[in-house]
Order: sequence, then C-alpha cells, then structure tokens
Amino acid sequence: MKFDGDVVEVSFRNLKKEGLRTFLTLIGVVIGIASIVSLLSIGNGLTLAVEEQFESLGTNTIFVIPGGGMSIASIKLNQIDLDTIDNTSGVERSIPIYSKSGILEYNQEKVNVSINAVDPKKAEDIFQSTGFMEVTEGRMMEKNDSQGILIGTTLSTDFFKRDLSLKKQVLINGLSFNVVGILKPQGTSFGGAPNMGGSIYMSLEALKRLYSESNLSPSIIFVKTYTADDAKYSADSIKDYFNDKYGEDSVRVSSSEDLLNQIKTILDLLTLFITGVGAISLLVGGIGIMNSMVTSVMERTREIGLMKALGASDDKIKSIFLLESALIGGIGGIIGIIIGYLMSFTIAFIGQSLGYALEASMGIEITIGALIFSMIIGSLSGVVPAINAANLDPVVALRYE
Amino acid sequence: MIQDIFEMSLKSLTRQQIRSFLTLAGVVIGIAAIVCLLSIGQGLTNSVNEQFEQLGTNIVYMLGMNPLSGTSNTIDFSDSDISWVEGVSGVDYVLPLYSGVGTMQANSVRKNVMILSMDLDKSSLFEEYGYFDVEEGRRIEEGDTQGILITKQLAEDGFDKPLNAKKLVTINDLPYKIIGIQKPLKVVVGDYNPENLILMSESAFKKFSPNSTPTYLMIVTFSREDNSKIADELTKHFEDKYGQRSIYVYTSDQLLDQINSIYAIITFFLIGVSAIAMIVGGVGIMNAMITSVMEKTKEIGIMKALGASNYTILMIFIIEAALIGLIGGAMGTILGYGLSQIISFFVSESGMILQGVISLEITLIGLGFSTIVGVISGYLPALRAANLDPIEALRYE
Amino acid sequence: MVKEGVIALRGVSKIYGVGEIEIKALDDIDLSICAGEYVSIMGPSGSGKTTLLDVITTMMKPTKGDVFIEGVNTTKMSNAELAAFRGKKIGFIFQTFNLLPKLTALENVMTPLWINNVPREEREGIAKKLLKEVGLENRMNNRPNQLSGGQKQRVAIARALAMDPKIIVADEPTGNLDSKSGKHVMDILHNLHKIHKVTVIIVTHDESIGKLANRRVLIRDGKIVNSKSDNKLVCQI
Repeated sequence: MKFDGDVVEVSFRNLKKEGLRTFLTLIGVVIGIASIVSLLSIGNGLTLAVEEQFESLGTNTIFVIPGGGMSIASIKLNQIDLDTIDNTSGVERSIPIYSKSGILEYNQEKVNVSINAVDPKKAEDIFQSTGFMEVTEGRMMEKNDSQGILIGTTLSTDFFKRDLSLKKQVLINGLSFNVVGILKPQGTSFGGAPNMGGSIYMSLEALKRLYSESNLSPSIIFVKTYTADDAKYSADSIKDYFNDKYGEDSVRVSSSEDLLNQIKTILDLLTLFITGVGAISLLVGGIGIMNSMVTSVMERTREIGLMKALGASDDKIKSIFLLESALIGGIGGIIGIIIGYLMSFTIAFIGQSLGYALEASMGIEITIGALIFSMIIGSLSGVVPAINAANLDPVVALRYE
Repeated sequence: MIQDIFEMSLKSLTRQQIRSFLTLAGVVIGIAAIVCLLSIGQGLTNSVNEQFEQLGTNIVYMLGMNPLSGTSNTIDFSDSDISWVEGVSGVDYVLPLYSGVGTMQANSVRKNVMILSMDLDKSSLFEEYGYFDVEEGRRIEEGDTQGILITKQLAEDGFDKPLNAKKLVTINDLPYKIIGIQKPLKVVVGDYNPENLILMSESAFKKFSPNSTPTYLMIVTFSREDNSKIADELTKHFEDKYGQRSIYVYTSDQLLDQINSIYAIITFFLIGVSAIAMIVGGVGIMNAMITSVMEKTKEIGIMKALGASNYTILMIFIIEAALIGLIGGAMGTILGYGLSQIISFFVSESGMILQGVISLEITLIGLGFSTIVGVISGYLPALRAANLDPIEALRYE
Repeated sequence: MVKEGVIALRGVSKIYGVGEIEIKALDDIDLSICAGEYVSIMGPSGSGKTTLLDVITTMMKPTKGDVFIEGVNTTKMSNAELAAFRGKKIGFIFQTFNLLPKLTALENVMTPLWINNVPREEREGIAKKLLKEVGLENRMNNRPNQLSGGQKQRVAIARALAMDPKIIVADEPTGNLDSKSGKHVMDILHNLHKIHKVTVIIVTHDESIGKLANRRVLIRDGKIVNSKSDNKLVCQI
C-alpha cells in the first residue's frame, strides 16, 4: 500500500471530531504505557546502579568466601592457604578480611559490636577508592596501629548516652582501644546490606590482641588480579586448590562478574514479572481502542457508504480506520512514555529521600520499544473493525438508520 | 420503579452486544487479575500458617548471634547458660543445636560438608520436619557415636559414585559409618533437599568437635501464651551477660508474623499494579456510557416527555454502568479463581504446597470493587443524560 | 357558569437573546382551551407554533407569564414535579413517531406506565387493551423497525393514551404518513375527541388537517392573530 497523505489527514480529522471519546480511549493507552514504562525504568535503573557499584570495584576482582557464606559454620583457613591465594598466578594482591564480635564498653555501657580487621597496608588505597571506607573525621588505620579503631557515624552518635567521639577510649573485651577515625555512613555497600553502625574496624595487629592467631580465620578474601582475564583464570586455580585440600564446596569463589550476573538475573526476572502484571492494563487499554473503533465504524456507516459511492476502494477505507487506531495507540504511547518517565523519576526521588536506593533510568530501548508496542496494540485492536468497515455494502450502508 | 429501571438497563446492555462485550472484557480482565492474585496470596499465607500451627507454636528460638550485626560470629553458650534457660518458669525443655563443617572423604573424593547435630532423645520437634526419617538404612540414636545420616542429594550426587548405607567414610580424617540416607525434608514451602548436610547425634558431635558449643537453642515452652514473656526474660538475661545485641531471640509467632507481612506487602504491591488495569477498565466504561448517552439522546427526550424525572434518567444510566461493573466483576471473579486454581495445580506439581483460596471475602472484594468502579465511571455521563434539555434531546438528530 | 380552560396561558412570552438582539418567539400570549375542545394551531414556518406547543405541554418554561393546566400553575413547579404532572396529564404524538427503537410495541406502550408508577400487575392489561383499540393486537411483539409508518403512529397514539390523560397534543401527526394512513390516524383522533371527550390539540401547517378541528388558533410572529373572543373564552363545565 502506498503512503497516502489523504488517509492520514482524514484519520486525524476524524479523531479530533470525536474529541471526548478519543480522549478517553487515549487515557486507557496512556495509563497502560505509563505503568509499563515506569516499571521498566525503575527496574533498569536498579540494575544499572548495581552495575555501577560493581564497576567501581573493578572487573578484575574475585571474592573468596569460605563455606559459601550462607551456612552458619565455615572452614578455617590458615596462613598457608592465604599465601597460596596471594601467590596464585594472575593475582596482584589479596586482602583477607577478618570478622569477629566483641563487647565494646564505653562509659559503663556495653554493646556487642562486630569487628572487621584487615592489614592496613594492603587494603587502604583500594577501600578508599571504592568509597567503601571513607573517613570523615580523624584518620585511617596504620599498619602497626594496635590501639586504634575506626567506628561508623551511627555508633558514634546513636548508641551511647554520650557521643563516642575521636580520641575517646573504650574497652573491647576488657582491653583498651581508642577511636582514631570516624567513617562516613554508606548508602549501600556492595553485597547489598547497608552499613550498620554496629561495626568497627581495626588493623590485624589490633585484632590479634583480642583473639589468638590460631583462632583467626578470614570470613572473606578480596582478591585483585592484574586484568579482567586473569580474574577468571585465577579464580579457577584458587578453587582447585581448595577443592583438593578441604574438599569440594569448601569455599565459594566468584568473580565480581559472576556476582553481578547473579544479581542482574534476579533483578531482570523481577522486573519482567512486575512489568508483565502492568501489561495487563495495556491489554485492557487495547480493548478500549477496539471498542472505540467498533463504535466509530457503526456511527459512520452512512459516511462509509457515501465514500464508497464516491469511489473509495475497500483498501482505502480499511487503511483509514487502521491508521486511526494506530494513531490512538501511537499518540497514547508518546504521552504514556512521557508520563511514565515522569512517574519513575518522581518515585526514585521519593525513595532516595527516604533512604532507599531507588534509581530510574531513561533508555532508548524502553522508549522505542514502548512506542512501537503501543502502535502495534493500536493497530491490532483496530484490525477487525477496519475490516468490517471495508466490507460494508455501500448500498446497505447508505440506507443505514 | 427501581426494578423497572433495572430491567431497562439490562435490556439496553443485552441488545448492544459487541460494545457491551468489549467494555465487559476490560472489566473482566482487570478483576480476574486482582482476584487471582488475592486468591493465591491468601493461599500462600494459609500454607505458611498451617505449617506453623502443625509444627508447634510454643517454641522460642534463640540464636547466639544477631543477624543485624553483620557478622557470622556467635556467642558460645555454656552449660550453665543452658541450665539457666531450663530453669526459667514456663520452659518445658531446651534443645541445643550444634553445627560445624568438615571435609568428608569417600573413596578418594573430598567434599566440604555441613554438620548438624542435636540430642536425639529430645529431637521430636525436628522429626515433624522430616529430619531423621530415612529411606535407606536405619535412624541414628544417641548411642551412635560414629554413625551419621547423609542427605539423599549428597548420597546420589555428592561423590563420584553413589553412597549407600553401611558405607565407611571419613570426616576430617576421623572414621564414620553411614547409618542411613535422609529422606527429603518438609519445609514450609515444600520439599527441601539440602546439599552437603550430615546429621549426627550430640554425643557423636562432642567427639567430633570437643570444644564446640551450641549455635542455636530451641526452647520449648508449655504454652504459647508464655512465649513472649519467656523471650523477654531470655533477652534481658543474656544481654546483661554478653552485651546488647549479642543474641537474637524470637518466638514462633514473631516468625510467622514476619513471613505473613512480607507476603502481604508483595501481594499488595502486585494488586496495586493490577488495580491500574481496573482503572483503565473504568475509563472504558465511562467511554461506553458517554457513547450510550449520546446515542440515546432522543430516547431520553421521549422519556422525559412521557413523565420521567431527571432522577429517573440518572438512575437508568448509573445502573447500566453499575451492571457492566457487576457482570464484568462476576465473570472476572470466576475467571480469576479459575486461573488461581490452574496456577495452584502447576505449582503443587513442582513440589511446593499451594492452594488458591476461594472465599467470600475475596469474592465480595472482586464484585464490590468492579461495581463501584462501574458506578463512579458512569456517574458523569449519567449526570449529563439527566440534565439534557428535553426539547433539544427530542429534536436531536 | 364561567370556568377557566383546561389549558390557560396568561401573558406568556418566550424571549431569546439579550438587549438589542432579542428574539420574541412568543409575544405576550393569552390563550384558553376548554375541556373537550378539538383545537388546531396553525401558522407559517417560524411563526412560533412549535414554541407555543412546547410551552403548552410544559416541556419549555416561558420567560414571562403563567401556564395553567387543569387549574394548576405549572410555571411554579419544579422540574421533578413537572415531569410527574406531565406524564399523567398530557399525551404526546410526534411527527417522527419517537418510539423507543429497541422495545416492542407492547413495551413501548407500557413505558409511561412504569415511569408513572402504575402497579406492575395492571400494566400489561392496560397496554394490550390500548393496542387492541388502535387495531394492533397482532403486532404487539414487533419492534418499530418491523412496523409501517401508520402502524408506528398508532402505537404512539396507544402510548399517548396509556395514562388516560385529558389532553392529547399532536405535532404534525400525519407529516410522515401516506394519505391513507394519515386519514386513519385523524379518524382515531377524531373519535378520541368525540367519544372519550379528550381535549385534542394539533399543531400543523397542513390546511387539510387543520380544518378538521372545531377551532383554529392562528399564530404569526409569536402572536395569536385570530378572533379576539378566543382570549376570553368562557368554558362550559
């Protein structure tokens, strides 16, 4: 069918004439598209946010977690194990992170805290650059710092009757330490759990005062490789070593890419599901278009008869009505896309100010996809009425009461 | 009079087939989605609640760590701690749970496994879940200091060759004999087949890992009402001893509430999204009603000439819209239930227990909502009809 | 004995527009119609006869003046009261029949009955009887699109009589009919007047129809132009 300018003009004019009805039909499409677009936008936004976080860590990262991290008990690694990891081909350096708990006493109040310890020299620049640990007051820990601890803002201000500020002394499991730095609170840390104030950080030396070395085993080892390619290869090597020594499944080795993909898969699935439910409203909107078109054809029966009498072909009549319904779909789609984005950014804004990590994203795929989808729904809804219109017998049509 | 109006509206709907059908379809789809979701949501909640009732509601759980503190470190409960708990008024008995890891070797393959252990003389609680029930071999007893149960999954897929009962293996180089193969466990959401899990008696575990202390205490009380009182007492005592946030105590009711509220939030959210579909359906009703009013302009004029009041005309159209809502709602409710039953069927086939609920409340919600949407959508067009000037309406072409 | 007419218009005007652009469709009209009269209202196109009809039947309220029907001042009534009043007192017959298209002949005749709250059990009986009187008992279950013009108008007459009104108003009743059906309809109207003593008012521009009435009211440019005596007509009991 050749592109016919008249058909377009006639279709537009018809839609304008039936103002209120076209408007209401449009609303149906707008609501449907807006919900789909906003849901997709937020879903996409969340995925992108997670990706960004992982990117700041670098793609040349591996996480080694003894025991897989899920169970209550896990294996204990010793120095030989740690050295083996460090010496694995492709590994630039490895940073074991130790987690223990202790009872922190300040001004006669006790609170149970979790203690995270690392070797400061190995860790410092990495954590700073990823924003994982940012000091707002005081300083970072130093290698031989066996007295100093870093605490989170929440622990500093919310846990005790009197603020626990810099240079203050505390007892941990009866031994004395002092606060050398206060950390910025973090929105979301990688891994998803927000940083609770009840964590403190110290150097490995300091931790050794509390727990004997034989008792210490890292809960996670953060491994940096030279390149992204190395990451895969090194991960395999490390896994083989542990399988041999402690048995299969004794540690979980994931590259940041693996973790990222896992999270993305879940997010994508969720987004798809919820968007699917949202698509139901678009379906109803499409039915609304069909209804509107059926009415339209019926009301213009005589007009159609007249047009045919004046020489319009069946195809032309069909294309007029098809275009009308496609136009409703398209215009509704455009308005719906705009409203959808507005909604998603508003929701993200509100969510963020409440402390949740909500993001909205505007994507070419979403926009074009939604537009095409809405026009297709529009056209499909109009097919049957258009065909009916095209097949009207002009003689009967002209006499229609 | 109302009956007559009702009849008129009904006639008008049935004689306007295609349009009424399409308008109805919109409502049907919207309500079907809502009813289906409500039905399944309620079904899930019911399964969870039922299972909990079955397993016993007079239990207080105490975990020697606080999940909110971010580490996986645990307090070591001493024997005196446990005795103290047993002495708390209202407590029937305490079942400590032990857990650990080890490297299991069978033939020449080594695998890291998790070990769960408890006093088998007191473990009836766990037997409700299906623990210690074997498909091969026999159950372990307190006297079995070197016997273990392994899960079916571990037996079949864990090593190079399947393992049978009576097989000799080592864990951390200590000798053990597989006494039985554990049947799949029943957990709230269906069958649960944990990988790499080994069960042994308390006495066996004490030999395996002599210095270890329980990770978890399950405290069985005499009556459900005492649960929160006991939980509070435990919390106070242990926090005094070990510090704030050192332990985590919760009752079975609290657990149930948490799960229920998560389900509720998810269900509400999904319903919210499908309610949007209903709104679109309502817009469709409004559209259809506007057209209806316009088509019937002359008839409205005639009826006013015959003595119909504005109010009568208003009611005719509102009821027409309400009928669309009601009939659509009825059909949508039936469809929604049908869908929920189909989904329940397929889900149950895959092992999870789910039965979509058909209840009076859900039905009323479905019908009520759709009728209300109908009335609201039809109100403005009906008002327009009622206020038509009779002369203009009569002469309308 | 002197009595006011069953229909009386006093000082009725209908004015459209404001200020300089005023159009007087009806200009200070006084009119009395007695019970049982057979009146035709005639005038050229644009004379205001349609407006006069609308005012007489209370479908339109005058800008000035009062309209009395059976002694009751309808100008003071609310819309709701008017609707009920009109339904019981006045029967309508239109040029274009104006039957409800999706209802059968029987249902059409029953429509004023349910609108005006006639008890359910009585409705069908009344409607059937009326349809029989107009000779359509065999067409009761037909819809308007299955009836000829003359048959449709007869259904309309049956409907107009449903509430046993004292006044029947017909607007060009034969306008869409062939001469044979037209005559049949006029005969029915004539009998209504003669035998049932119903007040019949016909609005028409057709001379041959108009002259069938006992009394002719001529209207031109919004004013009644024939015999002055009509304005102060005295009605018999």
